[in-house]
Amino acid sequence: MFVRVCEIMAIPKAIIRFMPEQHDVRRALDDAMALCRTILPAGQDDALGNAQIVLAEALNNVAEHAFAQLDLVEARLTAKLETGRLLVTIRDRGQAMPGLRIPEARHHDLSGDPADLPEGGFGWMLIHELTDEIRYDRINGVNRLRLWFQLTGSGEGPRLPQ
Amino acid sequence: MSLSSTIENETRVISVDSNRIDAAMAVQFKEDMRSETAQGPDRVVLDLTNVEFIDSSGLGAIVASMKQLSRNQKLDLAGLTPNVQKVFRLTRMDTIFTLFPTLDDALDGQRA
Repeated sequence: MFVRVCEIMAIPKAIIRFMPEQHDVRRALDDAMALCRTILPAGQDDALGNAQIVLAEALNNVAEHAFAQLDLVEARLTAKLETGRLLVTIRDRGQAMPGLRIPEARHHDLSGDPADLPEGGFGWMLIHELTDEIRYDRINGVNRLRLWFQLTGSGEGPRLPQ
Repeated sequence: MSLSSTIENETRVISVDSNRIDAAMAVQFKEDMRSETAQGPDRVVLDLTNVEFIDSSGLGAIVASMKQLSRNQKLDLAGLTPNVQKVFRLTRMDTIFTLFPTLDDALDGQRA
């Protein structure tokens, strides 16, 4: 049931089809990272690390939305080098984001009883923190999520709290 | 089973043998942690040296592993690789767990 096509051509892109099943998300992420590694210059381990965390969350979201429909997911992922930034675009025909908006980062209160610590809800926060810019739109039933990552040595990037 | 476990310095040392803890293995990880920590020393150290990548589900599974411990038990983490550490820092879970650079550091801490 698992179908996967990964094409790396003049315009780098990966067409990633996967069943909405988590092992397939793992393979899709590996394909996406192989694509990013192909187009990034050397010395961008930090940007690659950020992209891996963000794309894992984004692809899991795509799979989750498809779970609701019990359909084959086809996500098309392209990556492109811009001035000082990496742009990764994910297109899919799954459910639209609620309100056609990118969910905001949720910041949890960790100060209470350890028994109340959150076990989820970190995904969008990681996406917001590790990207330089995010845009989402939906045209003719196709979700388009664009994620920009700052490259090392090109000015201000996302900063980790010290 | 993606975990292996020994007892050193009165500490249960659990090593993750997989190079990632992600959504695909989060449920199994939590169950394996439950059986590994069901009995034995109160101090548990999870050695993450081999783990190159963790997603939010994997992080949730580690938090769940801590929450399912008995009241006297404590879970510390050792050997976080840079990208794993980044996820802990951004979610501020680094303030919840005690993190040691290496497993040796975690076991030295026990002796000190």
